[in-house]
Amino acid sequence: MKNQNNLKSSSLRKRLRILYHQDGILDLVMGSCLVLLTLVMAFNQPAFIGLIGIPAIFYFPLKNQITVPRMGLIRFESVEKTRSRLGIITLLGIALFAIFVLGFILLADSAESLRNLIWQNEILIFALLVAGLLFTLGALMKNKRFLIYAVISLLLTAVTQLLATRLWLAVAGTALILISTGIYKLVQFHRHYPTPASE
Amino acid sequence: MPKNQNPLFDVLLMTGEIDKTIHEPARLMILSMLNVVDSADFTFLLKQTGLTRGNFSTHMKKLEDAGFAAVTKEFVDNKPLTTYSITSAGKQALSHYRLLMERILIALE
Repeated sequence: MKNQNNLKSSSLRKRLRILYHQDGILDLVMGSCLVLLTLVMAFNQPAFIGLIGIPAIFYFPLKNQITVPRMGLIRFESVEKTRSRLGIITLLGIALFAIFVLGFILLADSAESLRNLIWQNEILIFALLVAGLLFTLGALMKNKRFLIYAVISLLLTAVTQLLATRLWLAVAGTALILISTGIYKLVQFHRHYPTPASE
Repeated sequence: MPKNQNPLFDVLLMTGEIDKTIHEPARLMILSMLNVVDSADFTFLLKQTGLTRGNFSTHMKKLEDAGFAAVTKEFVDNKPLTTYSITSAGKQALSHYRLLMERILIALE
């Protein structure tokens, strides 16, 4: 009986999560990140790869400006818990980066073979990275839409390979789908939740 | 008639145990939502319940008075923000209510 109750509560929690992310802001932010990635790839400027995360810093300001006044604020976990989780993710990121740098230094002699290995599997690595990012986001947010985006990005990568065309077109296609969906969701959200002044 | 001879009588006795603070639909809706989140603000709960401001405030006051919900007033970007959360007593009462209602509904089948 207790398990059944927990199941019902988690189902309500899931529905509230979906409701809170129906504004399309996350889609727009992720779509913008992918647009920047497309530009980096299309103009072959890997030095600017770090810039693709810039749109992410606008997520919370946009949420506060658009969603909170119309729909209200909901916190799924305490501020302390969110901070500690972000801290762990940051530490993991730093640790991964350190491992990567260390590995590159230690494997300096075999750097050539490593580079060859990366180049040979470039498409696979790239496709898994983009799809993995979208999939992780979908899993964390319990949002099926992002799981679908992950599958679409994989499919588009496969299509670009079949047509022997440029890889950045797959990213551009995924970005376009994300941004179009984001805009559609945002318009729907505005209709459903008008500005407090116009109520 | 001894109560154990008539199951319906037991059910009727159980209905007396129902907490009327929670049993009211609007308050049940509010408490159920608060049960699955850390906190929610006035606007969110108002929009989701579809209640009027006055009605909502009255129900929240009743939940607060019963010790089932807690209110926090804070300032975010220089704007006042009222958030609500469920207390441990509220969680316990809701869980008890759910079990009791299930028992009653099963007995009535």
